[in-house]
Amino acid sequence: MKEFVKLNQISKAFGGTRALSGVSFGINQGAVHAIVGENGAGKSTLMKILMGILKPDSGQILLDDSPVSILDPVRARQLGFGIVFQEIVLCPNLSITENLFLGSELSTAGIVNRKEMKRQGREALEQVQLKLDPATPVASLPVAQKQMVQIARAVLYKPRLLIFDEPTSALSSESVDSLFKIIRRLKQEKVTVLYISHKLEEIFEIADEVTVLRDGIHIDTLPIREVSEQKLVQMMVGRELDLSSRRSEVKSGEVLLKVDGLCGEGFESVSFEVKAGEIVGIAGLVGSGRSELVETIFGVRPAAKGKIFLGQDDITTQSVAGRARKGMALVPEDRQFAGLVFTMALKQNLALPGVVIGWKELGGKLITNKRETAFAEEAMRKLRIVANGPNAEVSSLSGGNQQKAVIGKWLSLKPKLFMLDEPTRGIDVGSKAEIHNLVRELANQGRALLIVSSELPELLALADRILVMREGRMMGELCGERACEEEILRLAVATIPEKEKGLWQTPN
Amino acid sequence: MADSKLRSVQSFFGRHREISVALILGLELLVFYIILRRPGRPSTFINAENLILIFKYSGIYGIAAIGASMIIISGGIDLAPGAVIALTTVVTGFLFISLNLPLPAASFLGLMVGLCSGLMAAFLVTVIKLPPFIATLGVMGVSRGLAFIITQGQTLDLSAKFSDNISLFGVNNQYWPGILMVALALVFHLFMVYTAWGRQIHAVGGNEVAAYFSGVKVRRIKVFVYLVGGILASLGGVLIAIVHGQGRADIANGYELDIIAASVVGGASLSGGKGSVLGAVLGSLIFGVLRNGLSQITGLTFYERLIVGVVVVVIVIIDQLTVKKEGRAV
Repeated sequence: MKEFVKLNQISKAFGGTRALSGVSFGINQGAVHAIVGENGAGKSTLMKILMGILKPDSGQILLDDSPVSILDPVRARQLGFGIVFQEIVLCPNLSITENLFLGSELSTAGIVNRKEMKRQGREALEQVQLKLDPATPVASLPVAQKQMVQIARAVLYKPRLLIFDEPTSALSSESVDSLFKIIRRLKQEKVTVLYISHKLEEIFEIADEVTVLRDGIHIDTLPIREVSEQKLVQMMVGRELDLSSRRSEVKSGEVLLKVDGLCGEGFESVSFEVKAGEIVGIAGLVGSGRSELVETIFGVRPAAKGKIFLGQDDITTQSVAGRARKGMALVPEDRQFAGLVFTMALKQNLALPGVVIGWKELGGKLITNKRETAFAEEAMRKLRIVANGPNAEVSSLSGGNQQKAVIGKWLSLKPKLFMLDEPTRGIDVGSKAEIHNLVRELANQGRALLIVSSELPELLALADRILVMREGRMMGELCGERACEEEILRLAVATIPEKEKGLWQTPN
Repeated sequence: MADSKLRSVQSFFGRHREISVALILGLELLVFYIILRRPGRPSTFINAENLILIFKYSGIYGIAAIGASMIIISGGIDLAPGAVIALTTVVTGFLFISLNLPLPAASFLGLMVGLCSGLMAAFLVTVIKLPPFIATLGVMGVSRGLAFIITQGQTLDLSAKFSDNISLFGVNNQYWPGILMVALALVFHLFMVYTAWGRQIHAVGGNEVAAYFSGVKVRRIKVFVYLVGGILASLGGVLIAIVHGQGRADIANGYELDIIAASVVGGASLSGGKGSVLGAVLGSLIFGVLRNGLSQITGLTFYERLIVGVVVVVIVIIDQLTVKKEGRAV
């Protein structure tokens, strides 16, 4: 195989921080090349350099052995570089076709050529196996299909190198399979794929070769079959991590949370209990009502029927603040949307729930800068939040540290029941291990934990019991020996025959 | 080195917006002092009488800007203050002249105009879920309309019934707009910075959903800011009625935009979450000084609006240059 793209001593610094220092490696033609590394390792910077969004301070990019300078995104596209972003960057109000051609509409003499756009759009959709009318408005599509539209948009320009940046962070596990099918097809068509992901199991499934970055330094590039998962993690974090140990001993106490016949938007007749000292997981496909359930338990959504008890208290009609005061906390699924206030400094975000409920250590309803700073610094220390001090803007934090901040908001209030919705989605492997350890530690202290996650290995590693939901109903409970991926999937997708278990059958 | 020094200066002004606004105000005073200087004779600009005049006029804007900036910080906008001020002068005047109520009673009932308009805006925003721009546009139209209906276009002359130089607590009425502005600015500034409610107003403006997930009673916060905004605008109206002795339906026309401009100059972000009550009041003073100074320069009458417009834009541009920008790569 010959090297299609070669990076030679690429360096890039932002202010005082070096994002990349002297990174050199090659990407083989037609390979699926994975890039792994913790947040802040320099993956995004590297990608942006390839796409012409950032310019390297020094170094060279060779394409087919001849040096190229990628001055802007237009040049990158001309060279045949395409990218699929992690976030959905589509205009929801426009149709699929309009999104596909956004900013580069086909036109003759200024008049948009709808027919040709529709034809090419249909072709691109076929390539990603999305059987949809190109006139469908994007707003009506589920997340997985939106992601496919983004891939179609990249494919439209017949790229020779296609970059996937954390493409599965918004996808449920069965949608991932469909994505991999598309990637394999692209590979057959001689497209070189650069695949960036935190999820190592995906990398072992799809990648041919892997490059590890750490703190902006190139650690190694090697064929995937020459490396074990353990070894890869070690290269990424520079130390050994244990991601898969179940707690050896579970000491559960009295019932802390009791949900009785609860109905709400997206789920019905749900009953279960969580005891003090227990870690309970909730599994299910995206759209199975898991998030709606925990949000209703926390009071951000109204309950239509049924009762919620925290300890002995019936809290069904209490406000969010009332529940928080009684010792409940929820780390929401979407930390950007529901977790952080980006106009406020880190310390103010960390103190927000405490301020709302009049937490004594913060001085009740009157806020003093000194108390608030001390309060925030303690949370930062406890969770090892890496930030430029308590006054840092939250947008300057990495994804993992933002998530730790959302956890920190509530942790300082010492909740009895801590609910975490997708606590490690899209964050680096180091932060993930820290959050897992924290969850175990909290349970050992006698708190009750309720964890929603789309990552089955995570639930299997953490939870003492796993509740499985499907289409708004509780399908069953698995504990100990019986909890395995196959069993969870069987409950989560039971009625769907194996061969159709593709992307488009996701119940939504 | 120079870069880091610049950055620390920027972050200082970013965190203490009031100081940079105060500096601009000081600079403005200096410029007008120099322009209006008459060698050998006392200044017509920097003297007690003129400064009292500036405070008297700015006070109305400043008091309303306190409420407006709180609404803007909460992520809303208020287009009603001008109309609410007018309706308040009319209601106060009507009660005082036609119904012969004593002035304190008429003034108190005048404040109810703001309470009602604030409630109406809050209802439209929190229950009907109209965008604040539309909701307060409606309140503005209704208030202005009611003022015209009550007066039938006539001016209510309260001053005819006043004894000479009426005063409250022994303080001449001319001073009250300035005194109230300063006092309320301090009270509400401390409220916004040091109380849980103030913090929650900031949180709602910054990210309503995250605030809600943190236990903030978002609806209650919004009702509160629109009520405060309405009542403070009404207080401005009562002051006009007393100090200027007039109740008129077409008074305070266009004040709402001046008030919003003062809030923005004072550091408020129209996308919510950021701003300063003290900054908004200083912003009102900047405009008060500007109008006062320009009116003393002969031949500038027709240029006044143009200059005010340019100054708003220039101040906001200067602000964007001096305040530390978020360090994003792209």
